[in-house]
Amino acid sequence: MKKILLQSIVVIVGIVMGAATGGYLTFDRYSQKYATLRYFAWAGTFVAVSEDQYDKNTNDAKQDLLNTLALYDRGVQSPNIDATLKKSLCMKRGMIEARLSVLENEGGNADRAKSYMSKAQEDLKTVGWVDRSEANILQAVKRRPVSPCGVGSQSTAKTIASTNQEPCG
Amino acid sequence: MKRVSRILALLLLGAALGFPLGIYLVQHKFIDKEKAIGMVNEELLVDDFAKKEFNYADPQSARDALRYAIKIHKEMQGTSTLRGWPEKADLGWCYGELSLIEESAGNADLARDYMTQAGHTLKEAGLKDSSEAHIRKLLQRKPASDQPSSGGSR
Repeated sequence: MKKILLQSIVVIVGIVMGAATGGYLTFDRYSQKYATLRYFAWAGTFVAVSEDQYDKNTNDAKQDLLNTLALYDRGVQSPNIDATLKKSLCMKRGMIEARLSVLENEGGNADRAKSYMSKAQEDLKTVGWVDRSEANILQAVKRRPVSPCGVGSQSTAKTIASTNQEPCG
Repeated sequence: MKRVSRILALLLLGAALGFPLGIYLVQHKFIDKEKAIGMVNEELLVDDFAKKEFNYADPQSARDALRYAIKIHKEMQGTSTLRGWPEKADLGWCYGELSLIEESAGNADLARDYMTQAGHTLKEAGLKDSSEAHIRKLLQRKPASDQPSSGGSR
């Protein structure tokens, strides 16, 4: 009885070791092959969370936006991302900088607000924005009212849902 | 000695059973999901970029961004597992916006083609009134603020 129990334990330990090795090797190969896709998975999540915090004007908004900005900086500098995708990251980075400018302004840090705004204007110039006035940029990052449908309440969804008279979500 | 080799054999048996199990679990419980999220986020990012370029950038930048967004939307049609009607609608709006850009550039034929594709795509996505007049009316609306995900300008 004791022998069978011991043998079972050895087999289970082997299964755990095998599973860990298989899982690790699979993940390692995946993370090397799909590094860019992984980047987008996390960048999209970061930006959704930080913009939501900004819209809700929470205490975490600034730190979340700074973390997201660091992630987008990495993307813009990455040699593995193609030029048009980099432009879209650049625009998004400009939007994040504009939001940080708003938060710094609200916190009374006029100099930092100005610095973020000029960085935003620079990024938006790169992607071809015609009107890069502060007013136009601030209009583009105006806080959205918090929707009962949450982050998923996309405007396209609203348009189609309202046309079809369906509830959101 | 015999006992040690028996333990090793059992350990190897366990490892041989566990190895494919580990591959399966990581692939299906994590990798597939992260890949799907990555594809959707990439599509949303490019679409949001195109929609904003349409509203704020010069016509050539907007045209390039919209064409690129259409290309990515089409690529994702066959590969992205989380793709649904919002992404299909985004593709329709890209066609609509590209149509307006081509129209203002004097390319009437191209504009008509894009508008037809916009109508078809939006109808498939569930828009009840996918007439040209209705699409034009919706496209004239400027966004009130930055939309983080699909359908930035709608």
